[in-house]
Amino acid sequence: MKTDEEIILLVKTGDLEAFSILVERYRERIIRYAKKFLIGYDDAEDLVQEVFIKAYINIKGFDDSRKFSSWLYRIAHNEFINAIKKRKNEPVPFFDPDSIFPHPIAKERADAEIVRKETKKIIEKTLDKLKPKYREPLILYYFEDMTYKQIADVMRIPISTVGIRIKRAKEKAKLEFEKLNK
Amino acid sequence: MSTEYTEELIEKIKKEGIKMKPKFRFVLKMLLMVLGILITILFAVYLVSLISFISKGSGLGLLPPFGLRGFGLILIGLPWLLIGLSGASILILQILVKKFSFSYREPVLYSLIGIIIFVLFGGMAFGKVGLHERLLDRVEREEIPILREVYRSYGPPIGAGFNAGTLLEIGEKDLLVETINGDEIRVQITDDTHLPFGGDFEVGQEIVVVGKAENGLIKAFGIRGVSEAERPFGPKRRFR
Repeated sequence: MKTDEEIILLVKTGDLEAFSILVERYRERIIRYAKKFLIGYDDAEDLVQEVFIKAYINIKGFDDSRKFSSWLYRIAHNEFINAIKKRKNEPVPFFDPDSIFPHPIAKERADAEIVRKETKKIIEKTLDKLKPKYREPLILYYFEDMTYKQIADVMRIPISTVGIRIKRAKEKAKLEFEKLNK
Repeated sequence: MSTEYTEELIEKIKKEGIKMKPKFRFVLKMLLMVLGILITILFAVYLVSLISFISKGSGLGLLPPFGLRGFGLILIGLPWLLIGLSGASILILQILVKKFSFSYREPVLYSLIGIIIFVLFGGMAFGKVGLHERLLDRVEREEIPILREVYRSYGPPIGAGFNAGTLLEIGEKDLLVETINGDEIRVQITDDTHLPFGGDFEVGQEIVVVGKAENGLIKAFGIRGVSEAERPFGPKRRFR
């Protein structure tokens, strides 16, 4: 099986069939990301189509030394954030003070499988109660299995900010979960 | 095996004639970005060295021994427009470097501190080249009119209480000074007058007097001498 990067070389020569392999590989993941992030959006799948079209248009700008998945998720992130901004239903701050200062407490650590499953369950039930800036890193970490560094590359925020947002988001999710179960 | 979704997408690309952007556009964008960063760095470094040159040339470096009053005069005399411009160029640099992973992966504070240190050291190194002295010479010979405002708009905060000149006469409780504007002014020394380096002055010596001039008389808050090495714009120049 060819790697993403080998396929991209073919796509860059104009091979649309090769591009369809990439779409097949990432379609479900990007749709899952869209559906979890864009809660209540009927056009989430159309936006995903737009993500792949933008990836195709810009593929010659892809740096072969980097991971294709991070690049594709970055395009998806931009598309989804723009969609949220257009709807104006949820706040998307232009600048986040969390990204100014380092957060030494926010180190990445592997949870035990059982804890991770439990956390995922809580997050799944409370995602719609969280602001986009908290919802997105949770989705990328728990459902897309990304590392803090990969999430930082997708959202273009400091790695320590990813950590602090995930920490706060989990606390908020737990509070919301407790409210739901009262 | 492609699914219906993928086939539909590929069909859309074919039908709508969607094309990949050519590689040179991405290369050009990156080149413009790097060029923008380089130009902004050069501009910020030039501004910082100019601020230092103007501050030194205005004699602001002679004021700290006069305490709070001296610092007040420094605040009045600093070229705030240039400081604002250099701050703006540092912010622009911060925004530009944020596009690169080495910058956005770290807190904004780190890259901002890095940029400020780089620009300050760059400005200090740039100041050593002597470019401002050469440019000022050329401005004075009216060779570069476009830079006239940059180099001639700034000077010591005379109206706020900064006075400098050459000592003409030494009296018991006063001094006669020829100011940098060519006026003669009498300086009254009282018991409260600060003399941070003592009161042994000589006729012909250059001095700085802090205090407001009224009707040709200054009740001196403080007086100090200016050595050859401390003279603004180097030993060959006077205050301007």
